[in-house]
Amino acid sequence: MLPLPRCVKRIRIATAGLVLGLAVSAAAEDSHVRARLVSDLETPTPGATFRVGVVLEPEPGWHVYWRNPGGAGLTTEVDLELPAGYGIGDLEWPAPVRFTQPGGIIGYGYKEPVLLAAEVRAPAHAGAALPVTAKASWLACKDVCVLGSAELAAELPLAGESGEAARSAFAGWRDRLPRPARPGEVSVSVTGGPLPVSGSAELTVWLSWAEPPGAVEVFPDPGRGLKVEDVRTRSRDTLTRIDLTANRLAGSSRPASTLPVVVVRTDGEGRRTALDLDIDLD
Amino acid sequence: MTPSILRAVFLTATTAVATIAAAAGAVVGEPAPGFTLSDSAGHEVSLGDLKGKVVVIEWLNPDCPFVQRHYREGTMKRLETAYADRGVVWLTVNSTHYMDAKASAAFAETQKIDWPILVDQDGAVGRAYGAQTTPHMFVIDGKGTVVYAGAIDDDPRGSKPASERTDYVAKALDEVLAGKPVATPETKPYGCSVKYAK
Repeated sequence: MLPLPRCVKRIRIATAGLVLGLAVSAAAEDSHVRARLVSDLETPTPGATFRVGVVLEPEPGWHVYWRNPGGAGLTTEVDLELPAGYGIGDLEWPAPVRFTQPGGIIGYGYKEPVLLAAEVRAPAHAGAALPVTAKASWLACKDVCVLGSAELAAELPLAGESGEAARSAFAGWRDRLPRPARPGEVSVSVTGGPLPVSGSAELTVWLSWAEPPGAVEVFPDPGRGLKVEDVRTRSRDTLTRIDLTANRLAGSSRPASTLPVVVVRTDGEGRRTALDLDIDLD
Repeated sequence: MTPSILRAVFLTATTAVATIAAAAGAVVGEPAPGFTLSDSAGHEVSLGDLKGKVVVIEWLNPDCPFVQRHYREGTMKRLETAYADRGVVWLTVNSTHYMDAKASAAFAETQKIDWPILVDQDGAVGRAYGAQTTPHMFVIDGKGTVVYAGAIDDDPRGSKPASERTDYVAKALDEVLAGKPVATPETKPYGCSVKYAK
């Protein structure tokens, strides 16, 4: 074989490196968490909607945190980058679990693998191949806490086995996301308070369900100027009672008028249904 | 409409759970809980002896990445030095259950910390203050009232340029020292959970 000119050799090596680099860095492991970039995109279609995200898999015993990490911890972040023209929606958060850290410090997050993904809309002029990068950063804790991050890249659509695996990551994903309550599914009322414009009060939130809800968990997601503590949830028949201490922190520019919560029902078979509810504070 | 019969069936009392949140904690606007702790060199420090002084209390865990970043960046040192000149007393409390006085002393030596690291291994003072994270910051005015509780700044990831970051503790100290009310007296603290005993 004739020796290749040096410039051609360099391009071939660079291209190989690029291809290998993209394939290798669709998955990474850092600080007790495995991260991999996934998408359910199969056939690029102009104007079509698909999903891109990162699956985070904590090692057994470790957890990462929800959008509201609770009394301590750090919100997990996933930043997606796609070429110009692609519209990236908000990151969607599957229903978390609640854990209690020593001292009774409440945490909300994920111990099992979690897919954090966003909907993406392709532009009218979408090409055949689509380079995507995802930067994920998290705090992973067990008895100690470690910061972790991963920078992942791939060309979509993912082909072959990894493509199949990536698409299967989305099976059941939508069911794990909170959805708005259907008409008549549950009604919400609040007693206690009043909650001052700045200051705290004990509030009781009543959820009246159309059907017995099974086990009910409540995950508050207060904005910056609002503190929510001491959430106690009990259900009986079709009624759930949630006692909590709300505190509108002084000095915030716009006192919060609602408290968003995610309410999760678990049926007899262990299936979780998550609802997005807004609690009126005034 | 909520069925009032079902509501009435609910007990009004709830089971008491020993949580940090349920404890009184250090409440902004109220007297700071008093305490006496030994520092890592064995000297006793009592909050009550510091009446008349503005005091900062910083919750520490050298194993926590947020604390490690701040000490790498010199955040606490810079603040302590700057405000010591203005008479502010800086106290660091280590409520990490597995760290004794020697461990805190070793940290003080490595970091060249010349202010007291108070050893709170059983977590009693942490619980009294409702310390949830490391770092978790409290500012107490000369009358012994808590005037700030929460995060050291609004940048948990340490990703903001200094010009875009709000340094809550520095701001509170400036306001207290100027005799002004603290504009942002409470924020949600960030960091690892305080490592109390299980």
